[in-house]
Amino acid sequence: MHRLLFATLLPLALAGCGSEREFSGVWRQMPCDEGPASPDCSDFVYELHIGRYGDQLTGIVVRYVYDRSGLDSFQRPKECGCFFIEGGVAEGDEMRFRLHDATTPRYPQPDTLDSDLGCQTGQFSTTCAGRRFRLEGDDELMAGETVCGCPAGQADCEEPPGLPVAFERVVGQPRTECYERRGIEQ
Amino acid sequence: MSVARALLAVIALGALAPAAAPAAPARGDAVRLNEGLPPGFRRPQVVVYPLLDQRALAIEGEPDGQRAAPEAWSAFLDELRAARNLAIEMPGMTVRAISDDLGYRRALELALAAAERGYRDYRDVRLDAAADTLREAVDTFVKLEHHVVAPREVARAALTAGLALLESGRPVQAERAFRRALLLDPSLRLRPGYDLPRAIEALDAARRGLLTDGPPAPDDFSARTPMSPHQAGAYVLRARALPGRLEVVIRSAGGVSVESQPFGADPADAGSRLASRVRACLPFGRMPRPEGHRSKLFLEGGFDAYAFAENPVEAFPNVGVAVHVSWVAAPHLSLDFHGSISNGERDPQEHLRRDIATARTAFGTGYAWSDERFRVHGLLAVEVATMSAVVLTTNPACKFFGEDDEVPDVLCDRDQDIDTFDRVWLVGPAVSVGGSMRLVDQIFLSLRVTAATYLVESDDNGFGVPIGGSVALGYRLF
Repeated sequence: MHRLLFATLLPLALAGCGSEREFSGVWRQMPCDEGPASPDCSDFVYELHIGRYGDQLTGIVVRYVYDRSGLDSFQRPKECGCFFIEGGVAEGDEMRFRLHDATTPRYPQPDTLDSDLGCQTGQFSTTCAGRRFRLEGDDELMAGETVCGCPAGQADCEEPPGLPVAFERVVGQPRTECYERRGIEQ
Repeated sequence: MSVARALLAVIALGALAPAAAPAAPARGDAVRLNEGLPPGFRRPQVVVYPLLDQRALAIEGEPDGQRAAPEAWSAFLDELRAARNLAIEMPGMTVRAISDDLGYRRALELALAAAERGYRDYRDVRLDAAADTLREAVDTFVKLEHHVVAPREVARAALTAGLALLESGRPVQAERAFRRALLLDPSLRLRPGYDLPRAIEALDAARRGLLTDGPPAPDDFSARTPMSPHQAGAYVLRARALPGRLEVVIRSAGGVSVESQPFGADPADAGSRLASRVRACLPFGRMPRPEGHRSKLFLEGGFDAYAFAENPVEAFPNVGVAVHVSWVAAPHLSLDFHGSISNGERDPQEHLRRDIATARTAFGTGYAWSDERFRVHGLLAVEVATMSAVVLTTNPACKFFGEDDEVPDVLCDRDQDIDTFDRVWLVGPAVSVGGSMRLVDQIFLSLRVTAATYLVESDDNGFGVPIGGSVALGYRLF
């Protein structure tokens, strides 16, 4: 009798469980001296705010200036651009996505002035169009590479080799805001 | 729409089918007797009292018995006894039933003591007291039906009361007492040479008066209330033999009727004829009812789970609570109501952006079979359901970013990428099959598989054909 009841209720209890939300959350790029080295570490580190829906991925990427002194780079004064994720796909323990409008970063905070950014104006803009990420891992750690792709209309450009990156999950609610430049200060 | 109407018609026909079953044609009593009475046949109870032979009133002096009346009476009783459809209590049994009654015996002792007091008063020439005491004793005797058990004893008390009244100079009351004594025992006589000539003459005058007027039937012949507890619901036959005929009073709760038959040349034939007429006045009896169906009412409460087979997104479970009421109104036929309130889980891709709450009700007729422990049931019903508003999108950016977030249209255009449907109402046929197992007393566990399709929709939100089941604990109310 109890087995019958258990067999009936178990599927109901398990309904909704699955890996459909894996990768959702906040991920921070690991420091260069603690994880797989990334040449980009010399300039920027990335924070991923990801939402996964089945095999689709979306969210935003916040860019920070890498602090060479060893202090925490992921602080508001060091924010240096915000990007929407585009074309995100999740398959098993692998995910890949690219940055929307990668050459025109947005502000991570509303009403931000360029002078408020933790990076120089020259650093804020980038010539790296079509930056892509390909990562693989589990619910705690992901490693892979990021590629700086060709700008739009230059499909025949020679892509640089991918750069290894690693991310670790941090506790927090993913951010969902990425602000346009207001043109307050040019 | 026409399909829905046809289903409604089928359900209605199912509900009315038992009431429309044709009744069996009536058959005659003789046919039923020849076929034999089935076990459980309910025979009318007929209580036959001893014959009151009032022909003795016509005999001068001490009667020495008659032959004709007993012969007709015997034939009457034989004919009645042959009626297998009647439960006859013959005169001897009737007398025993009266005398064996505990209440009778207790009251009789008091009545006999009262009568003894009356006789003593009479012997001591306390005539008024004797008359009163004996009259009351006779009244009590009659109430107890002691005059059926020992008519001479009761008649003797009435006679002594008459003698006391006569000797106290109240001849009119004395004659009334003598008449009563003679009705109780028509062969009652005083003895010449022993009793007073005046008394003998008075009793004889009363006897002749009864003959002149035609002897009346005693009052208890036509009493509407049962004289004894064992007569409750029975048909009571009181018979008396009159000069030239036999008369039977049939008494029941429904009334009193009288049948009479002249003795004629063949008293036995007369008795048989009279019995036939009396039988015609009595009910035949009741055939046993076919195994009666007792309606049953089952109440269930439990959990409902289902998924929409017709679904714009990946299938997802809907889980909720459910109630089910099943009234087995006729053999194997039930009227059912099922109601549930459920909430939908999100689909794996989370295209659904809001939980779907669904209320479903179904009413219909079902088939039910059961034994002591198990029950199987099927149901064909009309389902009416309502589903809350649905918000759908396949665009992940529209799922992740809120309405207030600044998102480029190329990533999420809410006007284009999100579909919204208001609350919808749905109507269609539903089927259900299941089984129940009694756990303890009237409590049972029930499993049910259901499916429905919606033929009428207030708006097409893409969802339909819910298929699922329920598990519930139930209670059989009656």
